Amino acid sequence: MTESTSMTPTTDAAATRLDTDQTASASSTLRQLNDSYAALRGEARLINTDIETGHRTARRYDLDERTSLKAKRAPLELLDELATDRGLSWATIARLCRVSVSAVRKWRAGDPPSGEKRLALARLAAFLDLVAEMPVADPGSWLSMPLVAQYSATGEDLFVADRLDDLLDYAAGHVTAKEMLDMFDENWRARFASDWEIVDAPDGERSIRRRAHHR
Amino acid sequence: MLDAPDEPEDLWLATDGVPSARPLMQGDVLLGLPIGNDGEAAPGMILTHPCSMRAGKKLRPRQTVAQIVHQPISLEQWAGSHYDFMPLPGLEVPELDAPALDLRLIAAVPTPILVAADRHAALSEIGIHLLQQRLTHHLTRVVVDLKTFAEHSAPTLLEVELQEDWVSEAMRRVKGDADLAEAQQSAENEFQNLLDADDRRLRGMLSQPPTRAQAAREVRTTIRDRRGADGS
Repeated sequence: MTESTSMTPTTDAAATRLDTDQTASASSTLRQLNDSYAALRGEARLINTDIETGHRTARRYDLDERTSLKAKRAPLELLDELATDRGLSWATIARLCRVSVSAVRKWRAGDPPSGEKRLALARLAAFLDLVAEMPVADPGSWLSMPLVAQYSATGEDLFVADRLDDLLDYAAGHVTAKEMLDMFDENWRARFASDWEIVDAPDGERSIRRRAHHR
Repeated sequence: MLDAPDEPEDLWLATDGVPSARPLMQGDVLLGLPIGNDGEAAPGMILTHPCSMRAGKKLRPRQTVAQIVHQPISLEQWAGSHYDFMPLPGLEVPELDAPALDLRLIAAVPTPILVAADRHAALSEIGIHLLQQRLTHHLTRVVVDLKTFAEHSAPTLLEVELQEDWVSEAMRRVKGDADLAEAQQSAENEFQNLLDADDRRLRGMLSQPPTRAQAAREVRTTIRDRRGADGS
């Protein structure tokens, strides 16, 4: 009992030392593992950023090349493509090319647009071609639809603000609509909030009504 | 508080005459309407909302218009003053250096005097939304944002565009000795019947953002096919 009693502290001490050594070893391993993963994440983030930048640059070159090819076509052909094949209204074409509706009417009547405006037409047509190759069923409708329910922001708003890269990332599914809007304007919720909604009235027409529960 | 256009020219679809193929629309300007003092001829603008202009396919017998008067208002003054007016910069009206729509001078006129071919000018979509915003505020003191008006009007305004294209193409194919008025009426009826066919399928598509472009594609493809059919 005495021996046993005298042995106990020694054994306990050895066991404690062993535990401490093992704990220290495990801690060291975990720390190394943690450090390794942290370093990998950092590298992955850098690589991801590089890939994103590279992708955006390559896509921008692709868009520029497509724009150059489109710009060689007659303005009337481009207008017909946008209105007939893409289903855009003349007013939408005017807005997206940042010209007045009366300017578009003049182009349709045969007045040639300036070089800058012709390029704007070509860019819009090229952009929609690019979107059509992504998982977007109808690029014309896609641009005009609200991005987030109960807010009025649409793809057209971002196109007019020249956020083509963001829109293409969104079309490809790389970012969500809210992420894209956060990048565009951190105050987008206030900017695009509307207290009004469109409802079908009993007479068969549509009416404007104040929202019952606003966000 | 109220919105203004970036540039005066953004207000206008046309200021030097409007093609007769475009249906009568809110924001159309006509000269010589009997709405001045004692029924004197005066320039005016159609105010009737597009949803109220017609009963079915036919225009209602009377439409509301407001008189255009001289009232200088700068772009900077749009937002916070002159709420009884809709400034009309860029519009050329004889004897009015600074035309503005006086929203207090509203009258109902017989529809037949609003001759589409006699229209002097027409507001653009943005112009119509600005008019709707000022008119709503004038009548109710409620401010509605332009985007709400834009979404509400989108099906009607696209329909107007498509009808103009449809009728223009039909009129281009009319032979020299045909009755032009009859031909235009026939084209307008054909277009409305197209929208109403199959339980108003195209109208339904126009009313919803996800299918609006598809409806426009269908109509314009038919127009293009017709244009191609006669080799032009």
